[in-house]
Parts: sequence; structure tokens; C-alpha cells
Amino acid sequence: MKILVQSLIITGLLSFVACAQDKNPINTEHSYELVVSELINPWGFTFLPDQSMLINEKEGKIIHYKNGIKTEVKGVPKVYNRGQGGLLDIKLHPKFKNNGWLYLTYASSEGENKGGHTAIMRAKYANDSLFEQKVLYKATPNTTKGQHFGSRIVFDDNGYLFFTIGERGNRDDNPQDITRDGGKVYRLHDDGTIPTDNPFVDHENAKTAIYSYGHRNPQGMVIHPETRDIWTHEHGPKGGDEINIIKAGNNYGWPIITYGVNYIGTKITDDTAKPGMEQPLHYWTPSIAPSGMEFISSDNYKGWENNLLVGSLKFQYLDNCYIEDGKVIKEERLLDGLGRVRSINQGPDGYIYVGIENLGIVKLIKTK
Amino acid sequence: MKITYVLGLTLLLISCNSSEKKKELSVVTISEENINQQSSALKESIIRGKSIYDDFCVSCHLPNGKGVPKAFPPLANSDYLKNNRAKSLKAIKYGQSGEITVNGQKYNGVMSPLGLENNEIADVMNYITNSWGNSNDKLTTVDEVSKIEP
Repeated sequence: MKILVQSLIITGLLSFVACAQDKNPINTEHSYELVVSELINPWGFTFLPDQSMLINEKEGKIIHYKNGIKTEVKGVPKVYNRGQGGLLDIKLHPKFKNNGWLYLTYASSEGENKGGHTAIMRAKYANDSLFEQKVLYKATPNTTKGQHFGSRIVFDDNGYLFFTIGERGNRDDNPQDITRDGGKVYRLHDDGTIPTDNPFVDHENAKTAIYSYGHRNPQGMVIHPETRDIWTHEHGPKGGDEINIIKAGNNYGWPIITYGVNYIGTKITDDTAKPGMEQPLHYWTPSIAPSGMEFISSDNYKGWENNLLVGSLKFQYLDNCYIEDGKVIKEERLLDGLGRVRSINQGPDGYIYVGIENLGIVKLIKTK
Repeated sequence: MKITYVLGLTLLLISCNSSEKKKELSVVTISEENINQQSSALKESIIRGKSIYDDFCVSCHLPNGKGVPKAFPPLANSDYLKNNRAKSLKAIKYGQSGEITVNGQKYNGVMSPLGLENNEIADVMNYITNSWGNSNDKLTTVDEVSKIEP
């Protein structure tokens, strides 16, 4: 009897703990190999044409990793390393081989007010140094808030440069106002000029680099390998992390509509849908705290073709999302418990590489 | 009419009370006055500290300060926080890595440096050491934080 009671209590405790987690099953048909060790926070990384890596450490360093040797890149901009801010994403120009341009997003304290906001820089990379650094866009106004800087960078097939900026902890003023920075996806030409057909170029006082709005904190953005659409994910508050497909001028609803609630459990809004605001393709409740995003477009992972991979900071796994008819139909845990997954890229060899906080970069291997 | 009367009387009582207080204040010893000043400084610091906590700490240590088992140690009723004032301040100032034991449970995670200024560190320390059942009337000052070495 006593044992029964004890086991009931234990079961009760376990189910309570399980509730705080999500229900995604652990996939056992994979392993990993540690490729780059001893990194603190590999916030973003990319592969150079010679297959070596440039790795952004959040604290403000770029590491060139080649043949087992780490070299620190010179000429990196000074970053505002506070809270979630620091050195963020890194991306090569699609014609990097010819022009040597790379792009960085980072938290910057440049400008008048105390604090910082997200900036994007273009620079030439050669001999482990950055040259001809140019800030293409710097969001304003600076704030000392520690949250929601974004940021991810992608180029689409037409050579447009897209990047994200989070709402900087000011949800009531920023995400729904196109005259203010933050809570937006932005689109520029590769030299920083604003495309004349951006959706808000004719709106008075609008920040005309804005491409879509009503976002909270997007830390994942990638082009779908077949449809070529831009997919993003973003952190919700407590619950309500989202995947969205980004289209010009769309409003993604934060904080007017959301599937999440405040951290302390109180309501943000009664609405999860409204006319004129986009529904997410998928949402996570409880929040997984998504960072990093990549589609599998190689043949190295039988049965996972075109699956979407999303990092979970909170539950420390790589979420393997099976997509069918534009819906996430199944999710599995890869690399379960390995650490806070921050960044994901498919390498030139077709393997998936995953940046994990306080660990390094691992290569994902399918074992069956 | 009656309401006005009651209201007037209440106001009178309040004003009597405050003049009484003034008298009391004038006779307190200097050390007690310091304590009073410190306690009001502590109260204000705790209020500022809460907004720092809600900005920089809450997503891991949670609104109830209980943290997440095996991942993020609790601050609420934490023996570590209670017994390691300088180490706790150092963790807030420069980040925390390496194994620590909190309430009998081992933690070996990493908290990155948060980029807080010394006054913000003092405020958030005053908040976390006086919330969720924690109690600490020794005010953490900017001066104390500035002396914490890496």
C-alpha cells in the first residue's frame, strides 16, 4: 500500500515536470560529431568557399575556424553586449567569391541615446580581417532594455537582403507602428539602399526599409528550398512562439493577437486572430524558445528531405519538423539535452551543423 | 453633510498623526535615522531591481524565482544566494560558470555576463535577496558592487 502511494506521488511529480516540457518524442536514429569545440555562444556562423567557417561569438568576436585552428578576425565592430544583445548573425553575399562582401547584424550603441539597438553592417573579408566596414542600417532609438534584438539575415533569389529586428522590449510602441523600428522584417539592396518597391515607401514618416511588421523577436529566417518563400520563426512570450511565411507589407499581429500570455501568466490580449493580421503557419505552446532555422535540402538525411530544423534554447534540443501541405505534422527531438541550440546551417557537404551554447558546433549524423 | 464631517475628521486625524511623527523623528538618535534612510533607500532600490529582474533574469529564473530544475538554479530560498553574497554579486557582474551547489542540487550551466551597470547590479541584488521569502536588510550599494573583482 505504502509503495503504491509512493509510486502514485512519484508519477504525479513526473507528470507535473513533464507538463512544463513539450510532448515531442526523442528520435534515436541519429548521432553527432563535435566539429568545433570550446565556443561560448556561437550565435551565427557561415561557410567560406574553402569550406572553413566564420563563427560569431555573441560577446563580439568572429572566429575563423580552419583545419582545427581558430583565428580571431580583425576589424569586427564594437558590439553592445548587454542582455540578449551582442554580435548576432553573419551571412556571405551570394556572389562572395567575386566581391568578398559579408554581412553582420549586431547590437550597437551608435547614435545619440543611451543604450543600443540592432544594426547591420557590410564589410569586405580577406586575410582574417574586415575592411570597408559600412553600417547599412541602424535602428533607433537606443534603449537600455536587454531584450529582443532579433536577428537573422538572408538573401533571396533576386539578391535582396532581408534581416530581422526584435521589438526591444517595447511591445506597446514598436511592433505595430511602421514609423518606428523594432518588431520588423527589413528589406534592403545589398549596398544598403532601400528598394523603391518596398511596401511602405509611400507612407508618410514610415521606416521605408520595413518589409513586414507585428513581430516580437525573430531569431530564425531561411528560404524554403523549393517554394523559395521566406520562412521565419519568432519567440512568443509564455507560449505562442510562431513560424511565419513573410510577405511584403503583412502584419503578423504582435501584440494585438498572440497564442501566448505574459511570463507571469496574465493575459496580453483576448484575441488569437483578427482581420488584416496573419495567422502563424505553426505555433508552440509551451514555448520552445526558438533560435536558428534551416531546411534539409541535401540527400544526407533519408526520410527527412525538406524537413525544417529549429533550435530550442529552452528545452535544449533540435526540433525536427516534418512539413506537409504547409503544416507542421510531426516534431521530434534531435540532440536532446545537448545544450541550448542557437544556430543551424547546412554545410557545403550537405550535412547539418548546429551551434550549441557552451559547447561548440556539432555535425548531425543520421544513423539509420 | 455627514460625509463631509467624517471626511474632515479623518483629515484632521491624518494631519495630527503626521505632526506626531515629526515630533518623534526629531528625537530619534542618529543611528536610527540612518537605518530609516537605509530602509527607504532599500525599498526604492528593490523597486528598480524588479524592473531589471523582469528584463534580464526572468526568462531563466522565472517570475517566482524558482528557476528550472537541473538547468537554472533557484533564487527563492536559495542557500547559495543567502550564504555567498560576494560570489552572487560576482556572478551577476561577470557571469557564472563552473559547478555550484544550490539547496543540495548541483548546477553546472553557464550564465553569460549580462552587461549590467554597477547601480543596476546593486538594485537587482537588493530585489532578489528580498523577494519570494528571501530577506536581507543589508543594503547592497554601488560602492560594494564596484569593489567586486572578476
